[in-house]
Amino acid sequence: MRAIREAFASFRRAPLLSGLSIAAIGLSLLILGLFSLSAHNISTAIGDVERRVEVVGYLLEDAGDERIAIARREMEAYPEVEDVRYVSKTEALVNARRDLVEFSDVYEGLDVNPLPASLHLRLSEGYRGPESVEAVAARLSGYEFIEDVRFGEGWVEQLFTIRRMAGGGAGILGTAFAIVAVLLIGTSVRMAILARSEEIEIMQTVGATEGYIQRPFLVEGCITGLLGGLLALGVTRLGYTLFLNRFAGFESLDWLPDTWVVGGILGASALGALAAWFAVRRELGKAYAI
Amino acid sequence: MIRFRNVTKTYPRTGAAVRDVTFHVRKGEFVFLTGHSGAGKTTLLQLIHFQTRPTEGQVQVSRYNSNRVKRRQVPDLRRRVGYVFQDFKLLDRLTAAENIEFALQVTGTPRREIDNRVQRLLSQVGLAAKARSLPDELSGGERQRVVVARALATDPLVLLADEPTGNLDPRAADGVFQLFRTLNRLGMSVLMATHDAQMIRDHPEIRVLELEHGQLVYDSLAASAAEAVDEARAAATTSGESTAEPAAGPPPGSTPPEPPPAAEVTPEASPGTESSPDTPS
Repeated sequence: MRAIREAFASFRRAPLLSGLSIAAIGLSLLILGLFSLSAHNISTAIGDVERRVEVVGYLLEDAGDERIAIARREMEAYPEVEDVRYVSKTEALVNARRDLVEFSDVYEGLDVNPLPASLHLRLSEGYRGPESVEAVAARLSGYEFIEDVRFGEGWVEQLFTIRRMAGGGAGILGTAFAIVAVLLIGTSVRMAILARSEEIEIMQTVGATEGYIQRPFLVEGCITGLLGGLLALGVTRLGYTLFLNRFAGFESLDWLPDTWVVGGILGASALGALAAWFAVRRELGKAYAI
Repeated sequence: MIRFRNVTKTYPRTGAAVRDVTFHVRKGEFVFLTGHSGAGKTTLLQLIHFQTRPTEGQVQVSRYNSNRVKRRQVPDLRRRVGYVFQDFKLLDRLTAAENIEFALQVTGTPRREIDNRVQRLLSQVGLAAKARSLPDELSGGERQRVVVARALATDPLVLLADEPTGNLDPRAADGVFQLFRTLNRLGMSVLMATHDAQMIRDHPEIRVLELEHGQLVYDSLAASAAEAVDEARAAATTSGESTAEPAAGPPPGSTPPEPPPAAEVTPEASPGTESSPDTPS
């Protein structure tokens, strides 16, 4: 209780400095928050695209219903395959007329349907990487009644590169801003220690314990991180509500998952405590290092 | 109580502040520590207060040894060693009573005891009427009394005073000095750094340790003991005796007798008053 009281007293003693520290940390975390929002939405978007990854096997004219049914059951038994959908020649033509409007003339008035029937394999979660896709494609092309197999070779690779870059970027930027936040909180706590140096010297002289002297600064760092985190959260939410979600045409953007929000706030608080701990060890550690 | 064994303190930039110093201050003793500015007085007091550790040798204060003390024991040692600064170091925004209360609070005194103890300490230093005065409203002598009261808050066994009268006029200085004498008569050891030669001359009964360039160049107790030995030898020679015991003790009113530093192998005087140097704390 004393440590919390002292920490708030420190805020009251130097409101400008404390406010600046919170604002600076808030700004760092805001950038991190906006990046997280982007990363989350990129990740969601990639997930949506990933779910659409399909391996398509085009069938020969004389494939035969029985052989197709057997192959379909075999395919469905693979752990990589979520489901197998059969598209008949007629259905393929209907789809082509619907999806390829600009070529609708070509498909009108045909005596013979040139499009082949096909098997569409959707892949299970965790098996949508390039290696799994290629393996399933290879297995499918092993059937003698399969004429050709397509799975968007190039873009599956690209999709996963984008995802890796997004993940790596989030990690690098997150670490960079965490370091900035730690430095800012550390400086703020060091200044608070400096502001109370006279008191601290007296405490050390009369025999106060290290923990007694250090605790308020650790709490101060923790609270600064917490308030900075809340500020960043508030501004990110405001930006999301007012700008991103209403005016910029990003209606489909998701808000951050609750676990990210709670994790971010707790993380900011822990970062604050960590930064304060470094500052305290550096500034006050010597007094008892006999 | 306080024992220095071949203590050297060297700083990386300025070199040795204390060189090979050996002495022993007993419980209840009053000692002047003198020497020019930069002679090493403050460093020596800091070594006793465990604010810094010796580069060589060892400092023993009560049951704490500088070579063996643990970090978490340092606060406890400091509660047993009161420290009085020349420049007071009072918190200006707090009254005299609150400054003392601060020391009691930060050392974990139960809240219900604090008020009584503050009153008692202020009375002890003769400032009961100034409890609500801010430091700015007090004279130099009064401020120093508040500092002494604060140093006494943790019931220390020894009081270290670093030039406590250096910023005071002669009358105020004498008042503070008399306060130290009173505390000493009540059983507290006092080690007072001063370069006030007149004060030292006025009190020949008080032991003097003199530092010069970090070295202990004079110990009045050792000197008087040696003088006593010389006088005894001279008397024995005159009366035709071949050997003689020292006939005279230390000057009247001085500290308990102690052999000179060179003979510091004797154990502490009063068993039970202190643990042995090796006693684990």
